[in-house]
Amino acid sequence: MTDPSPPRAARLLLRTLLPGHLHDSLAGDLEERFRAHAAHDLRAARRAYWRDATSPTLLALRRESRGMHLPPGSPPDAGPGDGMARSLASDLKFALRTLRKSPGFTAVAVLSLALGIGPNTAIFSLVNAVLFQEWGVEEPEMLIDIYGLTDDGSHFFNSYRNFELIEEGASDVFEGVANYSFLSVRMEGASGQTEVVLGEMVSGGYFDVMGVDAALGRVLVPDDDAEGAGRPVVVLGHHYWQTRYGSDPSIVGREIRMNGRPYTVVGVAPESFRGRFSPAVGADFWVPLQTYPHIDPPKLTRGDFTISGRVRDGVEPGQAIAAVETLAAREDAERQARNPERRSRFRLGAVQLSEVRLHPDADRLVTAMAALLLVSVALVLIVACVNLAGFLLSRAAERRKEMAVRVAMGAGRRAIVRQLIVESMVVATLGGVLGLALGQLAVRALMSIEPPLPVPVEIEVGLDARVLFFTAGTAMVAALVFGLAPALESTRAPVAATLRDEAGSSGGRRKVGVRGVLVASQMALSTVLLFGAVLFVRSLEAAGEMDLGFATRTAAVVDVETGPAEFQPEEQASYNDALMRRLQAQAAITGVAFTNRMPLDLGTRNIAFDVPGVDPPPNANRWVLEVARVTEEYFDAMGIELLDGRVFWEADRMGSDEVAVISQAGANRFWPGESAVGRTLLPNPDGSDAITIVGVVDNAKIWSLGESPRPYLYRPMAQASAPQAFTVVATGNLPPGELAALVRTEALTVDDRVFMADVGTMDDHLGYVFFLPRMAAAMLSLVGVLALVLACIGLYGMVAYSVSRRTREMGIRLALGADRARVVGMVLKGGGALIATGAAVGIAGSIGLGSALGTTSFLLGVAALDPLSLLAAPLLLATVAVLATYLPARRASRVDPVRALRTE
Amino acid sequence: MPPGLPSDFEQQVLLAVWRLGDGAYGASVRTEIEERTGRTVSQGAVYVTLVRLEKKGWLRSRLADPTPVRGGRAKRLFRILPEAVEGLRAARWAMDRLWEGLPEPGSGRAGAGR
Repeated sequence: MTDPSPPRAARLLLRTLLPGHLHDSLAGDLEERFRAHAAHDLRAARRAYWRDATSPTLLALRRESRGMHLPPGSPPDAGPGDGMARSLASDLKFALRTLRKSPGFTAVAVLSLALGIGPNTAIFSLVNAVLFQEWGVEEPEMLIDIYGLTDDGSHFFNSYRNFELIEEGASDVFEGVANYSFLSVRMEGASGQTEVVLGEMVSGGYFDVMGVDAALGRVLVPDDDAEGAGRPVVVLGHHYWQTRYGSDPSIVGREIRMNGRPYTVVGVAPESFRGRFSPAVGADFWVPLQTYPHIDPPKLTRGDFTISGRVRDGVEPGQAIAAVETLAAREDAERQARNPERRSRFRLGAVQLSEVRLHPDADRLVTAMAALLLVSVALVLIVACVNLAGFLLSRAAERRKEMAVRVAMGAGRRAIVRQLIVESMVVATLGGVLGLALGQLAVRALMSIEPPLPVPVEIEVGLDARVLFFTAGTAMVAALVFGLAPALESTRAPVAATLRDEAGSSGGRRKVGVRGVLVASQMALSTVLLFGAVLFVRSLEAAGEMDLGFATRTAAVVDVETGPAEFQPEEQASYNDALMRRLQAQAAITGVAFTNRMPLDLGTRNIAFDVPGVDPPPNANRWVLEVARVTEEYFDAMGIELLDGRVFWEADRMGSDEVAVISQAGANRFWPGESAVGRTLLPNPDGSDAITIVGVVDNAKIWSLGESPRPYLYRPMAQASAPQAFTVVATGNLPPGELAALVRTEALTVDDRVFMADVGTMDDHLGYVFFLPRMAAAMLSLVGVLALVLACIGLYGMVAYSVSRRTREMGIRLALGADRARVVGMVLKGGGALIATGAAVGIAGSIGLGSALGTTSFLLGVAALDPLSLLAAPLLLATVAVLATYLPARRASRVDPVRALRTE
Repeated sequence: MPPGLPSDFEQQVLLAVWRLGDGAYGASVRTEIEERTGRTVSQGAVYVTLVRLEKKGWLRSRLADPTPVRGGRAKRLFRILPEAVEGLRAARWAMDRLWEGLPEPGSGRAGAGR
């Protein structure tokens, strides 16, 4: 125990807490006691020291010591803790006083900054919610997601067979494997109302593999998923439990109804785990796979599963990924051996969950979108900061005399710079707080726009530490970077000359250079932003005018689900027939059709077949086309044009020849230059049940607006068993909304047990297709306009200021007999050069942006280098800039020369 | 103009400084109070009172030479002023008046504060 000393941190605390002159003697007292104490019990001594160092009486001591007279012989007050804190406090006080003295400057500066920071906070909050949230699982780097790989290498879902394959074949690397799929159900709420919610059906080991425990009750266990397991059980999502059941803990053990069936609630998931759809969009429930047939019988055979494996202790994630790939290769070889004719490959893709944000394939697009938004708002912030810098520069110039006086009085340069930095920090803080508030308002406004998806999606966008940190960081960096330069600049002036007024106006000359750069860069930045906004608005317009291949305005679109009624197949058929007859009998309805797949509805149904005389595509054994079942009047009701042959008629029934109508793109692919009518498709390898093409129709957009025409097949609904869920398309001489209501009433009249999730118009149906372009256009327009407003304020302020600084010069010129128009012209020429430079750089930047965007799929039907978009923005800005130069210049030129000469 | 009577704790601090004579500084005052009254007090509380008493004109302080046992820091030595002695007497007198005619507590700890 050689010479123990008191705890360092506690000593440091004392040092910062105590005024210098007291610190020494008090710390000495404490140390003396500590040493006496430490001789027999070091730990107790340390504890005692800590107690003394954190005693609240020290704060009282600090207060008490103010105004205390210093004993003779005590050193001047230079304690490190005290000096810094106290002068910072006085700097702060002084800064607040100066800012209060010029409320106009303060308001404009703070507002500029807030307008710059607000959008950044908003967009960052969004991006944060979508991209930066944790999955809430245990050790995501040890969780491997497994996807089926398609021929083009994209990550697709798995079949149930893949799950069995991995569970059996990779147990040496995985301690557990889970299989799950996303689904939506009709959930009956506490008060009997029904809503569609999103959830997951999961294999028994799911929660164990995720490493998630229940917040309440229990999670699902393998027994729940065992074949013939007793009553169907469900685990509710935390958010759903909170919002729909008011966090009522008695929910566990209660029965709720999903798709009309009773489920017993066994638990509630923790708040941190929101399922595997996305960290931002939470699952509202989890049900075991085996009870899934209760919800939606025909789907268990479907291949829309995602598989996750938990890597065993001592196994590297990379080994597990390799094991999955080896397994897939072996399976592929086996399948090849069984069927040498086979051309498609079986491949699996495995990814560590910690590497995935949403989905391996979507991540890049989503990240690109996020980056685009972040960059554009960052540009707005830069424009705002340039404003701030401009204001600070002007102010610094105005205050040069004040600074010179302070330097002359003995203030160090460091003190003055610190003072100015504190001032801009205060502005930044105010701007940051206001910006945060604006940003949160913007987020709330954005969130109130419901994305038109089949399932209501609630994204939780919160104000978390990351957002706060981001905002504070942005504000502070803005203040430091843009406040420091003017601060340094203002202290550089020669003191004596400034005081004698000699540098009064001519010294401003050199700084016009800095200000000029600022003006030009604002021009350039806002040109680029406006160009981007115009591009997206035009893209939205183009999307609206795009020919979708079907009529978009007039029809009513109603989704009818008969699942809850639990019809037997014959009942189902008679319900569908009865509904069709009733609708056809309505005078207001002129055309009505049913289909199991609407264009642009995010769904997918495929059929595989051989085409006699046409080779299958490379890497595949057979052709696969997307297909929709439709009733006879479908093409009429949808406004899809018949190009060749016929559409379906009543004779196309069960038992008659199988027929199909193909899209023009399909006909062109299989039989280019020839008629498709009368050709056959062979859905069965043995050639039975051949489908005859009876007609060719115009192409319609199926997946997205940007797609090129797709081969697509239509088959008569009457040649398959009656569907339990279908869409009614109706046209007539009523507004579409009323038509939709009519369809709904009729559907319930036939049987009131059916469910209609979506009752609306074709426009509603297409809402989601236009949602993203609409959002992008709206956001970027807002950003562009904001940048323009900021640029105008800044431009005007800066130009007007530098013109007014030249009042004296103009006065001299006028007094010497210069022509008024020439003086104005001289000023205009100076400003014009800056504006032209800015615009030129801006246009160059826009071309860069345009060609960068051109390589992405963000824009629809607009050439990325659209000349109109390119010129509109700079012209607008140039007009503002010219006005900003001309008006003050004219005013300055009207000034009485004598008075002008007197101005400082 | 003596600024009123010293409070309980102020009396304790003043008495400790008085008792310690030339050796009164933060740590010794604290020890004196703790040993005589059996109560623990924080150094900060002692110090804040010393500073207040100095401001009131009851104590005067000066810096002594630094010593190694204090980490090389100087002691601030306190000395009691006549005004303080006056104040202490007045306080004692007031207490005694109030005690007059009341039974003395057996322990003899009267006036030690409560």
